[in-house]
Amino acid sequence: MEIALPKQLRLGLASSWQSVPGIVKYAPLAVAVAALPVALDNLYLRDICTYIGLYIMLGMGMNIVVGYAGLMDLGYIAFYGIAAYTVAALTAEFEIAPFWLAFPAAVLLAAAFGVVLGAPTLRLRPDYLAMVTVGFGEIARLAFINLDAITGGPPGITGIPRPDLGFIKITTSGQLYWVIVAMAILITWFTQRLGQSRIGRGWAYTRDDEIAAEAIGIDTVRMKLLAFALGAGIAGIAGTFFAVKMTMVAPESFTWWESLIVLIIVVLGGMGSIPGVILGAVVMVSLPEVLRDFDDYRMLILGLSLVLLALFRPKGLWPAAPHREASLAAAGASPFAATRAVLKGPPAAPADSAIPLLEVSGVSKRFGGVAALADVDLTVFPGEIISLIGPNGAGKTTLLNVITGVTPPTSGRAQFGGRRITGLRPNRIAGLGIARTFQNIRLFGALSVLENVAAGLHCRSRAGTLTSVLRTVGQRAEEGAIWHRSLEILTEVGLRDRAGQMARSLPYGAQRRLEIARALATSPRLLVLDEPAAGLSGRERTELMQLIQRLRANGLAVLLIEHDMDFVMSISDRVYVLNYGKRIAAGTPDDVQNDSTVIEAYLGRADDEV
Amino acid sequence: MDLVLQQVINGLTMGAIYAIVGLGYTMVYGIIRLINFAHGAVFMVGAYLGLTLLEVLGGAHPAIGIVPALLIALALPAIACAGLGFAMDALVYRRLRAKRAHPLIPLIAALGISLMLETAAMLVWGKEFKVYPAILPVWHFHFAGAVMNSAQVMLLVICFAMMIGLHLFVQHTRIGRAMRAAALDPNAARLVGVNVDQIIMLTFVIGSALAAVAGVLVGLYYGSVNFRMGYVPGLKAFTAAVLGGVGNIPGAMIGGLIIGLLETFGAAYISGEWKDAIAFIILITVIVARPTGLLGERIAERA
Repeated sequence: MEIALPKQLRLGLASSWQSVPGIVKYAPLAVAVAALPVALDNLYLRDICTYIGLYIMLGMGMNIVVGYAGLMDLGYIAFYGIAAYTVAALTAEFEIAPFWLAFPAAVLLAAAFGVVLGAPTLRLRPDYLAMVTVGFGEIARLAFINLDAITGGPPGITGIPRPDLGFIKITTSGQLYWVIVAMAILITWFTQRLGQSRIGRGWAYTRDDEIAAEAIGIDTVRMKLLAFALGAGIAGIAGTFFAVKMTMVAPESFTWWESLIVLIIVVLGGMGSIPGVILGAVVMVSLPEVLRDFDDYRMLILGLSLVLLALFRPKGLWPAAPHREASLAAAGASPFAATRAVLKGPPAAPADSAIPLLEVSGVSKRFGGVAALADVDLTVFPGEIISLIGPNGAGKTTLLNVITGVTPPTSGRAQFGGRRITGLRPNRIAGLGIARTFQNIRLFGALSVLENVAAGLHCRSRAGTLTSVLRTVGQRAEEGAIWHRSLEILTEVGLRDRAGQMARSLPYGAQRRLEIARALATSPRLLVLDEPAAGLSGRERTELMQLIQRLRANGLAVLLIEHDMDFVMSISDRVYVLNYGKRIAAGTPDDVQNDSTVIEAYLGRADDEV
Repeated sequence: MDLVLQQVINGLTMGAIYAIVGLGYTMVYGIIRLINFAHGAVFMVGAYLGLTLLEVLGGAHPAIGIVPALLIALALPAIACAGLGFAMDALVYRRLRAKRAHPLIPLIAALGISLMLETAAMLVWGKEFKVYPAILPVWHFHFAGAVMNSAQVMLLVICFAMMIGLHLFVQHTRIGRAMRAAALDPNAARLVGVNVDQIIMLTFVIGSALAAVAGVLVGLYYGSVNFRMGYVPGLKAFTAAVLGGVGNIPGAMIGGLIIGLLETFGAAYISGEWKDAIAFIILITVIVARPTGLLGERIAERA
């Protein structure tokens, strides 16, 4: 007890410092730095600081896309340009709107372009997305040059007025400087808070393993689209202030090279790292000033640094820190302990044990000429433990993939809780209450054990972008409930002590248990396990069996694939046997074990084993 | 009618270049799923090396004769750029593969290499456009009302010869078969004894050599070169690879020719100002509507 006290105290102090909002801690520092050129009355320095502010905004937006969501956007500057031109056209060329109207219009237009470009392309491979964005950037630049009627052609649009916010009019470049500094601080705060929230974790899950994220109910397409739209919108804010700062816009400000600079800011600083992006922006803006005499060599140095970073420091100069709440909660310091009521459950399904929970009827799946599944039926009643057995290549995993929405069937249908689920995306099916694990474990390896479990709660929580940034009372209660519930589940599977460790560092058996814990976090009605006992030691296997029986006692139905016959026969209520895609038997373990077709195809005769 | 034929000839000329450069993208992507962004820069370096060699050999009137001078100006840059491709793979990409880096990391390295090559070319050869020696005798072939000049003839002949040669190599040699196997499944290929790292290195070497030849031919055809000349054709060549089906060697060839034709016709009949946008609009459309390309992609599942 005596030794525990100082540790508690230390933790308490650390958490109370950490509970001070970042903006309160760091904004005064930023303002102090920004005040330096003003105090020195140095216009040159102030100009550089203005650019640093603009590039911090751009870097933050790009950081959401590249760092948080793991997408590549090489035409990023197009969104900056679209907003800058929108403001220029509305306030200067056609003089049809004051700044306070043109500003939101420009930002929304940039975000809208992000959505229009992203919606059809975000399902693609990340590298294809990179090329689409390069193409979009070039098309946008050509549009700036050639759409003379709107953009003023190669000379651009001049005479953009200083912003008139309605209640206050910015008249001097000194005032504008402070507005840009304020915007940069605001966007930094926005990005930082978003990264440390449910939304930020959703991006991390999507980035690390899309298939696993979908399987536990995360709508990965929606997450990526959100990142793309927010990134574009933030670029729009920066573009607006670039236009009013320069008082003119021209196509040469929006070249491929500008997109590359923003990317370098993020990669150099550290993808996903807020201080990294700030550092990157400072370096990239001041480098050409410092190296003015070596301007031609600058790009050579930059190119070389990109290669060296990729090789030796892929996480950047100031790498992103792991999520803070996670470590705090792991230390048991979460201030919101027992409020799990805020988490939703899956939609209610009939609990009547006579009504099937899952009903698969006539499912076939053909891969080219191969019939992986042929007219398979399967039924799971609430609270049942069902095993699916059969030789390798019998179509067991394919059947699980059809049930969980990973593979669409060629024909046939699956119903869950009376609702048709064939044709739904995996995340929707998980949302309805089917959670699964994978044959070759798919954890979010670089995240903590606790964060892995919390991933399962993503689809049961609801905090959006705005509530996450503002940290409303409801959002904080929800976060508390997420960590609290995650710790509960970890305790249930015996991993409480490892909550703070990286998932990748766990021993094999613990990884299997963690994957089950993550699936359980989605509060499923049906748990689907693909070879859960594979590679486990005898003791671990017994523990697993006990866990499955405990879960069933709580009303959960379990569908599992397993090759370990002792395991299958002692735990299952009923067993289905597949061979060459066909169901060759179904019934109680005793029935199946004595079925001559099954013995022939799979179990083997006693005299086969020597 | 003759105008249409003329556009076809002009379109095929640029299309053949996109096809040759696109082969480099497609071969590499087919095996390691990397968009080698630096490939366009290799094309540019090849063009500059050809220029320097021709100048050394005596400019428009080489002492050793036109044909030997041309052969040297095509072969040496190809060899030098093959070395460049080898170096890129050995020094950067292979190391990143060994580290199993996130797929965006090699892309960033490729951007860095591209930037280094462009800047190095700018430092060596200057920022201005450089004029290529007019070494080719100016002949004009008239037929059916269209005109073809000697540079176009040479470009088309060499490009098609290279395409046919590569196709035969990949389809009918032992190494070609290993390349196809590695593109289908690198792990399985490794298990049956294919040295996959060596095959990957070979795709870099062949792709870079082809790009260098294309660079010299473009220099001779247009008559001038610039350190930024690789960027846009590189993107268009990548578009050609995607259009044909990435990883698919005949696909890249057909994709390149189609892009060249569409672009030339678009510039002639729609708008010259939007010429460069045409390829990018095709790129976005194909990627969204038919990401596997016209002939189907042939790429390995991510290991």
